[in-house]
Amino acid sequence: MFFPLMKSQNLDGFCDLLFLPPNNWEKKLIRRISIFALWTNGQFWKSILLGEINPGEHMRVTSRDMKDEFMNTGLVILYPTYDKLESSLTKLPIKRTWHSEVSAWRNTSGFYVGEVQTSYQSELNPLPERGSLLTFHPFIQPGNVENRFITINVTSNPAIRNDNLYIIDIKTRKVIDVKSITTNSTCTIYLDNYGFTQNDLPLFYCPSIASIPFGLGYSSEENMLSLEHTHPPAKFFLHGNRNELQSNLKRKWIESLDLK
Amino acid sequence: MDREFRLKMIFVMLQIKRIIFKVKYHFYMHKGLTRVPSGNSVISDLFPIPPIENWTTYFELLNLDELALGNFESQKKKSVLIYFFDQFGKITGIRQVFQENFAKLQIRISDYLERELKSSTSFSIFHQCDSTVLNQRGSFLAERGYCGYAYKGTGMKGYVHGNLDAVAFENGQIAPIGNSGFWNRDYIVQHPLIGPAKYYFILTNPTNKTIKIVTFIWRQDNWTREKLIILSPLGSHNFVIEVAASEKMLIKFRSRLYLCRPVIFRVNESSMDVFHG
Repeated sequence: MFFPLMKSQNLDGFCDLLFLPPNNWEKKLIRRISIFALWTNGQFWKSILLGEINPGEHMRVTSRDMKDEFMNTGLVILYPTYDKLESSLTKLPIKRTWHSEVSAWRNTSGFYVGEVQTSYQSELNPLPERGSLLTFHPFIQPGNVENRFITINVTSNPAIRNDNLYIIDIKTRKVIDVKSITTNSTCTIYLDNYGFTQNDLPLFYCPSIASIPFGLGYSSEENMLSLEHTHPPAKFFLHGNRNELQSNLKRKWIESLDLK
Repeated sequence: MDREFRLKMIFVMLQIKRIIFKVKYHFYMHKGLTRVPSGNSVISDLFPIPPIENWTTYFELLNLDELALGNFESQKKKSVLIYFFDQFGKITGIRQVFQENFAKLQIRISDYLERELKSSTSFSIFHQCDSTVLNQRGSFLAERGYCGYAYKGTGMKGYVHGNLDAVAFENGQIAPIGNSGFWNRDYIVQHPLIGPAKYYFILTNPTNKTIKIVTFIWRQDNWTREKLIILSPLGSHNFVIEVAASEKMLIKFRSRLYLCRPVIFRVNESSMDVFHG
């Protein structure tokens, strides 16, 4: 299991790693563990040992602790392991040491400015190399809030690849704008130029890069940040074959879009 | 030979680990996180309402019928029922909201909290739509959407998505669908409480049983038992922990709930953050 350390323009990221499982019945780890930072240069996953922590201990890592070259893609992934890692890897390691089922082993990732911070409970599994993203974005905030749409993507393959991200008006199904997002990165799209209001629900679609989508709000006037991810469409349903329902939902939507 | 033997041993060890996990899983989780509701139910989380003196609560209502079922051409006026609950899980009132043709409608939940709804501490949202197609395939439409919380009159909201599938609705009847087990288990919040800050925790009970929850705090290398919380079915409870500057704490909850996961509000002098534990 990996944990994201993100950076978005002018906003530093942090990750609070806590060496405690979410429950007392699945997994007991009693040995000191190594924390590695991994980032891609487009050819290899590079790794560096950040330190070691004992069970019950906490380690805060921030994007400011990282050299600029580590944060080139806006994303470093943190990896707790008992193994030694080579400094260059052709794919991400598959052993999951901090891992549990109920609930998933998570940590706190987010952004901060001075004493102000916003976070979500994070965990990161490598996404398929050829997936798609389709999400409805409900987090537009009015007034003096700067609204950003953030994606993070991690694949086992260290290559950095681009694809179009279509911003779509849900009522007309027409494209409002096309931006670019990349694999193995944190990407930031500013939303305030599009004139969305708090009752708008823009749709974001990327044909070949699956990502975790977030809404990030920042108000320098109120000295506040806000961060939350949207659900994948499968989460609109409970029980049954949710993946099939998600595929059908995405297919219906994609067929109805006017991507010209 | 050596290598072959080692590979075989690794395989055997993995199988043993898998079997141990399955036994433990059966022991602790054999009923699954949520029960399958009846017939043509729709499902909702139990969304917390923090104290109205300090917080304004919003809900970003999506037109799930259109978005999830792909009923793009439907011209029917859609509505949802908002069920409000008090801390004991009793229904304080029901309100109907029409979605018109909006894909999304922002509802200011705090505006409803007058008269008989004043004591409400949580709410659920049930979409009034035809989900027969889903139900026939063993699935249910689930509202686990997005609450926005503004602190002390600030305009900006902190958002958090639904936390637990809690309540099913069918033909005017509601039923809790969360499960609990026979054995107590710990839910450890994987977030260090770092001061100076006030942490507000809101716990909800998605089951049809009264649940006892014991909270433990980790201070100076020790877990200490703090308080006992008793939650009625669909009840909720909120409490505050103050963490001083340079202090660090951890928190865990011991109960029979399969997933005793709180919604957490972190407030310090200059800001606030909201997330699920």
